[in-house]
Amino acid sequence: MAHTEKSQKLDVLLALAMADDKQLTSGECPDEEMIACYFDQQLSESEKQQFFRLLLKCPNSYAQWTRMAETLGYHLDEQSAIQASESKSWVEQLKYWLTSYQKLAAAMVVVGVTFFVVLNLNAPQMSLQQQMEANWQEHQKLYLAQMDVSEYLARRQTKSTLTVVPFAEKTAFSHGFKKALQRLSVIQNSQISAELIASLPAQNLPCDNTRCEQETLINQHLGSWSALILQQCQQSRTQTKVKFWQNQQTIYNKFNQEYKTLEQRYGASKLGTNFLNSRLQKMNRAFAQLPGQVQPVCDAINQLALYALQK
Amino acid sequence: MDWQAFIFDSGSDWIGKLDKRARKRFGDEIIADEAMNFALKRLSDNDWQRLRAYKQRSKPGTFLLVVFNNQLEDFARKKFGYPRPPAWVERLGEHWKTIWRRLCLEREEKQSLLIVYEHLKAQTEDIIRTIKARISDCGKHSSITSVGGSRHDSDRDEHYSQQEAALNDVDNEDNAVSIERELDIQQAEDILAALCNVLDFQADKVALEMHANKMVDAVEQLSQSIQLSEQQNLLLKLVYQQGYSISAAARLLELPDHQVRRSLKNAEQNIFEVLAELGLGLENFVIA
Repeated sequence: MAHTEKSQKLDVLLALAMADDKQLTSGECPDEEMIACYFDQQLSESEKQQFFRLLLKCPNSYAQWTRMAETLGYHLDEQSAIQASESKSWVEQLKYWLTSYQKLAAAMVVVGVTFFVVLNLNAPQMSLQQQMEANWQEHQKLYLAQMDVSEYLARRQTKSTLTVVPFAEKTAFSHGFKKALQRLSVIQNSQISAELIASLPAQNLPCDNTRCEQETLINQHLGSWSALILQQCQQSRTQTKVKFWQNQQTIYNKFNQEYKTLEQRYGASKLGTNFLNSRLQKMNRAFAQLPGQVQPVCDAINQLALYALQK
Repeated sequence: MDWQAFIFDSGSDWIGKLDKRARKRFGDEIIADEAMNFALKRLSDNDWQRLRAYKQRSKPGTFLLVVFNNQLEDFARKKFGYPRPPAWVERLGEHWKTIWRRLCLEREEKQSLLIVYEHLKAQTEDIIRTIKARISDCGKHSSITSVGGSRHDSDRDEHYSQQEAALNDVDNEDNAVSIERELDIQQAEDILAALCNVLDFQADKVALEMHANKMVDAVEQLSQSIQLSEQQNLLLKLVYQQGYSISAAARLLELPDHQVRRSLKNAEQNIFEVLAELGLGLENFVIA
């Protein structure tokens, strides 16, 4: 910073620090809804001026206002603000992306890659996946509407203490299992118990890092895949073609590969595949016996399914 | 308004958004989890009583965020205590107060703060350096008391406390005025020293003391001579104290960039002129 710039900054900061700071009592200050209204642009011009006047005399309200501005990403430059926004809708975010061809091209590449990954993991049931996605929101809504807050808090308590690792892992796996069951229940005209489906988690636990997001996604896909294989095992396995099981082996190997890639990139698992590990090793051994014996695979998948259903 | 249905609606994923906010507020994941639990519990208490103040003027999500943010701050106060920052930190603005709180009370690591305030990295680094240099026991648990309104227990603030106690005890009005003045001078000196530290200016103690005296004498004149509108005042606070860029401040105040630029320039000009007129410019106490 140039000397003049620095000295000017010092002058302004000094003047601000020495300014008169007569404060109002909290009753006269903007309340929480007034602050919310400001960000929702619900204040008239005169209310806004009054709001500014009060902010300068109400340090608590000013602190709440700046915290809220920070939450909504106002302190960042425009691009980061839109990306970081926690309340802007995806439509608004999309509008921003659509403002430049370069960004649009980048977005298309991202969408394309994501689609390719999902397609690869769900290759055999892609059309079912699409069917299910259409029903997904409705199912999730129903489940969450029934969920008690205290139950949610109890879950979070568990998560923040000892079982944080398996809890996230199992939730993702069971959530994937649920999605597949829902999918199957559509095809089979709801022969699968709605109660069973409702008992499984409606969503994954939130992640705050890429590794967690990737691992959660793999666990979720593994859960979906397990439910589909279980279904196949419960139907007439003798009629199932060898080619089908070979395809499943390929998909299963892909899961293993994905886990390995994560470990190579980030080190030993944090979310933890400990609970899954022993079951996955059993699965490895079962697949080694293909194409001759299908039963060990079905036994192993049964174990995995139990993992999803265990409370 | 059915707040339970609103918060747990999977389509808008408010739980995810609130959780993200808690994680951003607290560097430590376990504390963030604890804060999220605390805030959710507080919100849902007595059939969502805290949210029932909602008068449907704002969007429910925005209102929820404001109330949730306040619950996170309540959690921080309950967890880490209620001490107020030293007066000079308080006068330097909201960003200073936040850094002081997270650094000295919540004992957050410097690196974690620099990540949170990545957009203000240089400024935050300077503030951390200054706070650490001037508050020797910042982050040391034993020094923190949770008595409401008590100050941080550094030597300098111990000095304030003794003076304040004396101020409360004295019957003699003249005596009280002189002690109050002494406190103001000390505070002004601290502000000057902190700003010099942050902006990398050299100033000797005697010069600072003299200037602090002069500033305290001129405070009233300063307030009368500097003519700023509320909007200009907020703008200066946002840009200088909070480190907002001009366009970010313009967005927050819903004004066009060029208007903000002009308004800011006029406000700065006014300040420079008044300080020069009163002989309070930095050339009066800065060595180089």
